Amino acid sequence: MTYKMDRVMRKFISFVFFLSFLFAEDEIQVALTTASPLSPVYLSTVIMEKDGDGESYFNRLRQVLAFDLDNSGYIVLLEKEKSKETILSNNDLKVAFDPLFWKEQKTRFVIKFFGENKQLNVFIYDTLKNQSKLFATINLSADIDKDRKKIHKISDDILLEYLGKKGIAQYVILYTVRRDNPDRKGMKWLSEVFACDFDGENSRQLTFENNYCVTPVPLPSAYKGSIPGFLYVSYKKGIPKIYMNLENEGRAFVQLRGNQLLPSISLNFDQLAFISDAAGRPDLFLQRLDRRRIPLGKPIQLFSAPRATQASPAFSPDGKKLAFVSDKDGTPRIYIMKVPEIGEDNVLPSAHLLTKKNKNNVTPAWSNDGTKLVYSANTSGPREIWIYDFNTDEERQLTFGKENKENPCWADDNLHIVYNTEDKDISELYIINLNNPKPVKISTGLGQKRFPVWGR
Amino acid sequence: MKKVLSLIVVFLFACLITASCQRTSSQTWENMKTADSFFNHGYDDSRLINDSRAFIGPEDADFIALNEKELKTQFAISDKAIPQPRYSPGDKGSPIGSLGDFKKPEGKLADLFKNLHFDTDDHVLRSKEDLATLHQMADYLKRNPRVYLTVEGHCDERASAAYNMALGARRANHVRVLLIKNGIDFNRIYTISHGKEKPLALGHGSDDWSANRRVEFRLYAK
Repeated sequence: MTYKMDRVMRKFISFVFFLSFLFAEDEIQVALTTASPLSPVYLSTVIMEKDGDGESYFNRLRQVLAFDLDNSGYIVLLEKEKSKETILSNNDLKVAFDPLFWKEQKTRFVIKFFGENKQLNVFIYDTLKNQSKLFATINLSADIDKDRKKIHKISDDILLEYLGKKGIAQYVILYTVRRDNPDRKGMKWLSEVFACDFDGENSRQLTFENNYCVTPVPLPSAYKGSIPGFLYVSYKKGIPKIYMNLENEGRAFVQLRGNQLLPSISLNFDQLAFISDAAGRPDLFLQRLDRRRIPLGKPIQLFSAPRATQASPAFSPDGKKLAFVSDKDGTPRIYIMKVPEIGEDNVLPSAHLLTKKNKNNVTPAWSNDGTKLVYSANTSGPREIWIYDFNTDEERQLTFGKENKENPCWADDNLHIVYNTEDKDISELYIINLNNPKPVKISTGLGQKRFPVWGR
Repeated sequence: MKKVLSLIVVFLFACLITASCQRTSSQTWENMKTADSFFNHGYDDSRLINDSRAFIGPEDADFIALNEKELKTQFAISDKAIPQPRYSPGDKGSPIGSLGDFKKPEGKLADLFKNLHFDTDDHVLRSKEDLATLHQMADYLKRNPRVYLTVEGHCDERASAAYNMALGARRANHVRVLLIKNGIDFNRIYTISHGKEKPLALGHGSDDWSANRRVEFRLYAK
């Protein structure tokens, strides 16, 4: 009898569960409290030495530091407050960094931005350790682009010393600018490679081909913050080919017939993947490079599929896998394949489908830690930025809005992404970080800014 | 009983014969997607080539190719791998000085070498009219063996710039293959992909998009 009752009870409970499952309108959501990854920091306004001049110049530099810290992905700058400014303006650091006062403000650390004549002094008070010090002194050159670089370094140094995090404020971003050609007799549009700082400032033109250059790929810099050598695709001889820019001169890089498009280089700079129609179809090709980053042997046809278009290869950080776009099974989606070892070169490798959630998944880029892939996908209309997480095998949407977003690229810190929008004739550069996914427009000026990549 | 059994055997045999004579659905799909049906059955004057060696000629090994055997089982006749000309115009050894020497066709030639159009996200010419035009182009090129041609693939603005660069190459190569299948030397036809970088119509509506999904031609007479 009890056994029978038990069975009836079980059936009843299963039925109730089934009904609740059937009529549930939304997913069950469980709210979990998580600590914010952003540390609150107070950055003073410019505090000038008595009778000091050049306050507007110091203000510009302060803006640079504020941008760098606020967009570092680890810090949130607190709003300006009169009481804080009053106490920080005191010349006596013991008063300015009064532990009792700052303990109440719940700041991780406090920065006093102090200008005197041609010197900038940055004082920092660590509220956890109750320690203050003159963190950096820089002699200003009055050249804003030079001094801006010094500020970027201070920002990265602050992150490393106080939060133990690697900053990316000193990195440059390569991109292209497409403009109408002022010469009516020539081609209608020109596109050249440019570079700018992390905050979009200090924009400078790198190619002067008076032609059409796209998809730059950085080579390693001689030192951090310098303009790297780079590969790019140019139409200067009519058919698009991959060139290497060295000392402001573009030299043909890969010896291969036909169109050469969409180059991608491995993290160790020992392999180059690109798309070529040398065989009569837009296939995926690989070119091995030697230690001097010069092509080693012949290019290898890596992947081809019937009636399909292959595009946008991207190496995994260890260089052993390639993500790429193919429409071989319908709309363009992202596939992963193993890069063949030497000797396996002419075997058609199998490629497995990675992104399944959306249609038209394009322009993949692997994070340097190998845990994530960022790409652009059609999302109920516009193309948005999505992230595939290899640890959870989940795809999640990072950006929202009306404009198309494409060409996302990870920074070295695996936290920041730069991408460009495409809205009719307007294309701008944005950065976003995973800890504070609010896009920040960094580009200014005329022309369509596209194909951004972080310098290395 | 024996009669019934023999009837069943005859029936099964007839089914087997009928089925083996039918085109498989995948074959039909292949033909539809690649315009094979037009080229194999549509025109009397087309030169049908079933073996790629007949028109590719000796392939210069400037890259390590994928295993041909594996690819052969996958590709349709109009999706053959036909290598690009060995030299780009302007290269050492090229019969042509520069791609800048190629001009947009004018006069009657402009009517013949007109832009051909594609469906969204497609790289195959669908319209019978376009395919007929392509045959006429091939005839002209056969009659004028010193004329060289560029096929420039373009896309509309809707897909990403990067993907469109590859799609433009796909479109240009599809048209190139069709011309070569009609007897034109593969060394006379160059492809260039412009993706969506050079739109013809500057608007943002469906008419502009369809005008921009195209291949354009340029000619050079040696």
